[in-house]
Amino acid sequence: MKKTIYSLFILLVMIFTACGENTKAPVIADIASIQIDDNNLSIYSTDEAQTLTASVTYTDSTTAQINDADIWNNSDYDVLYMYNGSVSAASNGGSSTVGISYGRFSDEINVSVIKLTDFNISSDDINATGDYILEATGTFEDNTSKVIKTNLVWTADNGAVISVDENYVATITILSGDTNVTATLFEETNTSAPLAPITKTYTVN
Amino acid sequence: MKSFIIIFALLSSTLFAESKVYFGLDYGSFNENFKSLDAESSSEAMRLKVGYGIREEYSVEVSFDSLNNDSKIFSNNDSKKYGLNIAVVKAFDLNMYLLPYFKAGFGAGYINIDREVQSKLNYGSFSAEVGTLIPINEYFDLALAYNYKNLSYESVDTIADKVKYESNVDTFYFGFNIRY
Repeated sequence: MKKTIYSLFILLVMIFTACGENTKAPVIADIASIQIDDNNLSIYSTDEAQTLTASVTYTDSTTAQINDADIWNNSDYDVLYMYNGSVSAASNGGSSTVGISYGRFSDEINVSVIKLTDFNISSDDINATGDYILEATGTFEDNTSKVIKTNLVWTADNGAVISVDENYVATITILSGDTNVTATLFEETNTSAPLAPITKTYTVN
Repeated sequence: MKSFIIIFALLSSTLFAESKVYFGLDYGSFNENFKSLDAESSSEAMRLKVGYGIREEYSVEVSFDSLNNDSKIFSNNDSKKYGLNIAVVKAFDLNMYLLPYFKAGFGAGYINIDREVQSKLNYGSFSAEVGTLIPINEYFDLALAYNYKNLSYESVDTIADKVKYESNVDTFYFGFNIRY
């Protein structure tokens, strides 16, 4: 009886071992490198956030995007706001090094902020109560003119209400009387050459 | 509730009266198949057991197992797997020379790997085993068993993703137990 059991077991083990295969190369490719896909970058100080892209290359030469991974770093948050590789200016000018790092891998680029040198509020005809779109346009150090989207705060008196939507379009509800509308840039940060706020008065009889 | 306590007390007293501590050593051969990976691993396994209970009835067993590795799945330098398990054993005394048993338990373990950002993968496991004890005398028995184990590995970090893998491990064991 014993012999039969032992023989059966040894036979089973032999069959089992003979059937077993071994994978001889890793089937889960490892990380070979990571890189920021963008080159050194210049962004306008009042533009909306720009998304950088980063990718990983694996040992089997495949690649994947890693924008959402917790790998991003920024050398100067006073100059640049950053969230998961999305960058926008925090000050009017300057530059910051944006990098990614994971394990022993890293990559970095330089992001410089193009300075706003002058700006103005659009002079729409506001002559009756109602809703109007406010717009500020700036001139930058490279002589480009653009609509200002970020780092701009609108304020108004005389009970006027200003709302800014997700596309950075500001709408003011004007009531009768004199309404002072003020546009202030980079309100929360110290800039080397702050631009004075601009105030315009709209009169509705 | 009262009857449960009485039955439990009776069972406990019987168990304690006839229970023995036992130590065992098993040697085996395993085959591991991954669920979502085209990967396989086969080699030898060793298992050291410490248990307490009645050979013909119930036992509780703690075991430490070591699974050799001849494959490269997670990295170029995957190591042996080491695991710690706890199981309940139910044997059936059929008045034969053999004592068939069923064992079920769970455990945890790890495998050392050599990836860029990970050097170890932990895993949890559930296992079920059928086998037979071959009592030689009151203190010594041989064991033959087939063990099925489901391993759930910790996520593998590829930066872009954290991917979890599962595998099934089939092992045939042959060993012995010494009881005190």
